[in-house]
Amino acid sequence: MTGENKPILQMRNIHKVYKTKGNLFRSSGKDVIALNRISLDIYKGEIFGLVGESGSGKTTAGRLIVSLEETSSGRIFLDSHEVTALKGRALKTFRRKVQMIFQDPYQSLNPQRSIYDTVSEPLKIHRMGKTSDRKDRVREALKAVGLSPPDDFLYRYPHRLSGGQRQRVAIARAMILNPEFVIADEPTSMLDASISAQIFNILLTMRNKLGVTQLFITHSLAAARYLCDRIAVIYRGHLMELGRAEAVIQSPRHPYTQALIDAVPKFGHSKDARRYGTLLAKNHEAREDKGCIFYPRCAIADDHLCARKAPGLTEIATGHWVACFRQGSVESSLTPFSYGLAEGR
Amino acid sequence: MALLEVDNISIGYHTQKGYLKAVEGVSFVLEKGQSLGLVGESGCGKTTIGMALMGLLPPNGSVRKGRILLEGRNILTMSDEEKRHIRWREMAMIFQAAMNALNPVQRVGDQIAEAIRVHNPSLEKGAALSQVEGLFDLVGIPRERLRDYPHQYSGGMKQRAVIAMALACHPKVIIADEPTTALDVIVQDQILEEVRRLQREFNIGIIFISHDISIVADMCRDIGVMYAGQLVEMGPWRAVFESPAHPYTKALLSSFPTLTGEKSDLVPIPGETPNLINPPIGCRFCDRCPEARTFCKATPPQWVDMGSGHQVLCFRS
Repeated sequence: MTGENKPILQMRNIHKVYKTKGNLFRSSGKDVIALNRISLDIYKGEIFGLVGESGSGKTTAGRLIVSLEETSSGRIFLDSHEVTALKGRALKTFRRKVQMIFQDPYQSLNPQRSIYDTVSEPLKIHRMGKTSDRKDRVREALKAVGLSPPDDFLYRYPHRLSGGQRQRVAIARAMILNPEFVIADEPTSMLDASISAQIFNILLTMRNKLGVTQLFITHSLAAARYLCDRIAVIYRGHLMELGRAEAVIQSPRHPYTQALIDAVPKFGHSKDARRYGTLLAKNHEAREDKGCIFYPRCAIADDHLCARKAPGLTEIATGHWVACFRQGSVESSLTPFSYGLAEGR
Repeated sequence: MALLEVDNISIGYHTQKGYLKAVEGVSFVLEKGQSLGLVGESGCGKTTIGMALMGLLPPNGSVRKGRILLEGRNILTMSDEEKRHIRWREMAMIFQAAMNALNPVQRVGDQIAEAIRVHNPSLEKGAALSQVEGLFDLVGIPRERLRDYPHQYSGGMKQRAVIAMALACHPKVIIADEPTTALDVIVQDQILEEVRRLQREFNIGIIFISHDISIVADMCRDIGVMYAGQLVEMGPWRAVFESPAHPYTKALLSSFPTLTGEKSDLVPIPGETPNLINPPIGCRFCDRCPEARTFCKATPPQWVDMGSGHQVLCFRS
């Protein structure tokens, strides 16, 4: 990360509601709040991790940023231009600067197009370079993602590539326009560990050598720890905790983050594994639409405060933000993790 | 006598491109109430072994060689009738992708009751349903969800229902094939805890198949690491993961991000897995192995005993 934290992307009060259709018998179901007034900054040159479970709204956030979808309210700025207001030519320029890598490389590549066609298509769309130059640029992009010699791959079709190779083609395609900002939405969830590590390292090189800012969307705290400078933890559309990756993982302050860390299978390094025990075995009864979103599952919740009022994000240490009334008391529940179960098997 | 013994088994599939040797010469033993983890990446043959144990290989697949002994009886030489008798009653499977393992147009309770009655025809439907209630209590699904359809269940609840179905006939062996891959980490943790508890309570032997080393390390006493259709390392989990002997195990461990300990660089494994229609003569990992020597390519490696049940299929150890 660069020393002067200059934001490249700013999200301000982003709200996204999906209206559910009613069926024949009911007029309308309940609206789903995918993102609830999210505000965050992503700094130039950093890899920012958005961590959450399925349905937490992390993918929605990515899709809103590349304006594949429209926000219900709130504003997104890239380089201080408002993304949410872009139209026509300006939108096309924006789409050159911001690229997305999708989760499933088996679905994100067109099976009827050769690798060359796929990777060079963005150049055609944005009328960049002459036809002869394009081939060189594609070769370079393929080399950069470790598909070499590139000429072996140019005229192959996706079905002849493995999952890891496909995802590298998807990255080459995203990188060919020299974007400033790349969103990687669970880029390795379909891949084996040894192949995932390749993809992680390509993303790291992209940042270190080319200074590409990235939003890395993942469900895996371990992957986020490896890759990201800062992490935001999101739960059911609410931002719960945000801070430097090591701080969030080594000393999480929100009970939900702590519950997530508890749930990751501990393996190796059992000595520095701890247990927080902040997840309730049996859910609290929640009052409707009031209180903290995590209250029903929170073991350290205050029945009066947390059930009635939703906590806002508060900065508890430089750059470490937590949305929890009880975050001060969390530390005390920290007990040494015992490997008792593991020994008993 | 071991609960389950797999002895030098080889399994293959007839494909358009030729005969694919999916599993070659795999042997392991599962004792009563113990857990064995088979870990490896996609295409290493771990699911094929699970399917062969259950007698559920697809029509183009067959066991070419070896024996599968369930309490001393060879499953492979049994008649279909005998196999059906064993399946679910003595050996059950928790399938990958619980989302698709349930019939969408039948109530969950009815499906499990039906499974019970198939294996115990004299049982009344009402009695079977009350057994299902007991199973729901066991796996932690509220009884009132008995009459729901699968689509009304969350992912974690479907997985619990599939576990309930596996437990329905009180099997001695359960094969759990990636039982939690589609689940979120908190739900996964709860399901794994449930499996552990049920295993202890009923003294079930579990074969846990997964690509995720952290899960098998957490769940299993013994670990078998598979690569390209072969077991390459085998032993108690601590030995295998804390002092791995096979270069593939080492490589797999160092490509895996962790939450604890020093943050170190992840090292990807270069190259691709070999083609199993024409597998290499020598070590199958040697093309990707940082420690390979010339003779690794020429001759197949032999098992080396590392002591206290820890074995490795490699020349270099």
